[in-house]
Amino acid sequence: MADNTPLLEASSLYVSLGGLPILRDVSLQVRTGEAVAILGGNGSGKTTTLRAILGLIPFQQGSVKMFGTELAQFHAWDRVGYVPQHSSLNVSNATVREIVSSGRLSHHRIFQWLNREDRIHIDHALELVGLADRARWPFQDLSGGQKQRALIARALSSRPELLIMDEPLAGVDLHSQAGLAQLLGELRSDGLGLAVVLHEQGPMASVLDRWVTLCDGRIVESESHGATDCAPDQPEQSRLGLLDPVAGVRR
Amino acid sequence: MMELWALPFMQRALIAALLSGLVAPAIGMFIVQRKLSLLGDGLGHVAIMGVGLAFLTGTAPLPTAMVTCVVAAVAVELLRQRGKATGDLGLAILFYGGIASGVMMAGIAGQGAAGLSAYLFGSLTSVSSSDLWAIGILGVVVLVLTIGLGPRLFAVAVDEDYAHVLGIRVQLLNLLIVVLAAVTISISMRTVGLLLISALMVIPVATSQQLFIGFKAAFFGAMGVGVVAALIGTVGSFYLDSATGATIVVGSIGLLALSWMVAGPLRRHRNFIPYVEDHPHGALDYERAEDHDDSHAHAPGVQTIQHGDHLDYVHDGHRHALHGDHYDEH
Repeated sequence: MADNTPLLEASSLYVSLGGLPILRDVSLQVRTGEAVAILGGNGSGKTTTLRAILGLIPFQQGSVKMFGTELAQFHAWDRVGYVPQHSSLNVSNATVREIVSSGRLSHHRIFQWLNREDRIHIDHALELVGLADRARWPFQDLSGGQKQRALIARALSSRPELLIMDEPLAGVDLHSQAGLAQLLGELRSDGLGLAVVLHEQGPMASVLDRWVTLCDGRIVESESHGATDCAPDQPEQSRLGLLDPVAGVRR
Repeated sequence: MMELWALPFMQRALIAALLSGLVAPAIGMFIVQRKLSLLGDGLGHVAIMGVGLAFLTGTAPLPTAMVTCVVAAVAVELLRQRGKATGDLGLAILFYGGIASGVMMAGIAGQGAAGLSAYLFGSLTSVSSSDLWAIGILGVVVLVLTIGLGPRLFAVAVDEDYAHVLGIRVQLLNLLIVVLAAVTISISMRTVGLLLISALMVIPVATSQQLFIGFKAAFFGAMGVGVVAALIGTVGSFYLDSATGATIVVGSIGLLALSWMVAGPLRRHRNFIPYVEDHPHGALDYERAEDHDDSHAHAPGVQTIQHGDHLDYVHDGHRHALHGDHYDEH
């Protein structure tokens, strides 16, 4: 039965950018109905992991399989919903609905515009995230939490089985964070797999099934046990030689 | 007015100008969205090199300028995609090298600045019927591609990474945008002119974004604004005996100013949300909620406005929001 195939399976990923090793031996699995977090501080490699999984940057070793297919051969991108950080968008004066509509393009032939089926899925996605009454608003006028919901709706509009999210709680006020975590919990209960990059578990703690913690490009902790403490800031500061100039020189 | 349109050169000029007015904002929409407004200006400079080259070699200016411009656009975009055009010095050298070598070659060919100026600022009388065919066909090609690929080009302009994950050929579409911009610039050199065409790609877009909410509305609105500006400029330049391109651009700036005057008050009215500092309970006068009609949202004549995390109700000349057990005046 194909159901046992992980939606996403990254095995021993090694990524170098410009000759610098960024990721070392990072592995991750997400199955149907499972929420898995990639945790870590700034510069820990969690966003690099996500970009490598999505094929946005190349990896030097290891493998990524989407729905059991090697990334290079994988084309069924309508099964994957990507939710980037809302601050990365260049929206000009586009409406919420227009932004969400882009999610349907993975179903489209090249010269095709929106049809009735697309509109039904877009309306449904907007309703799921609670933004049906904001569809005609300029995206720019939404609050941080609403923008994040709109981007989740964009990903949901293609009816994906796996959501890959980059810090969905960043730039969102505390009250809205709880609401977003609840929404993601509901999506997980509906059978979606979630791979979520997070700074910390925060309000997502109750939603997550598993997590890995990255530090300096390596997995230092997985599940709730076996933590190797990642002393925050220590690698970066010693590399710069700020705290201990002598140690910096010895390196 | 009628005798004006009886002149064959005037008919050709008008059709060419209207096509520019329609096409330039269509591609300009994506140029503006991608924050490449100055690229259009630079490519216009490079096309001047093409015109100089045509003078020197005795070939037709339109195709020569177009080939030069498209080659430069592709080169610039490929360098940008490989992350090598991050410093703008290389672009500046290309663009100023373009205009300088163009003027030089025109001079060597014995045309001088006077011969070039018809291409720099547009000239009504210089549109031949073979030019018009070329402009018409290429204009339609640009329109079909920008409208047909609109949803994809939009997705790429909003968020390249996301478009990539959707399986869209991002690099190819980015290349297409600059090539279409180069084609648009070349076909507009007779009407608006190479030094000013960039303005017709950008200003109607800004005007339309003042007037319309939404990318699609602004896209078609910008084409409408561009056509009106082209009409005003063509007729104006005939009566004022001024350069067509300059008149079109001044006309489109006039429309932009007009849109500010119209849209400013309109927008204030639509989005006006007064900021009220949060206050401790009891610090302000308030009515208790149970004393008040609590079916606001459904009552006729009551407008609801999202205000941060809550809804404001507007009726009978005042605006308030439910706050715990009472209503706050906003």
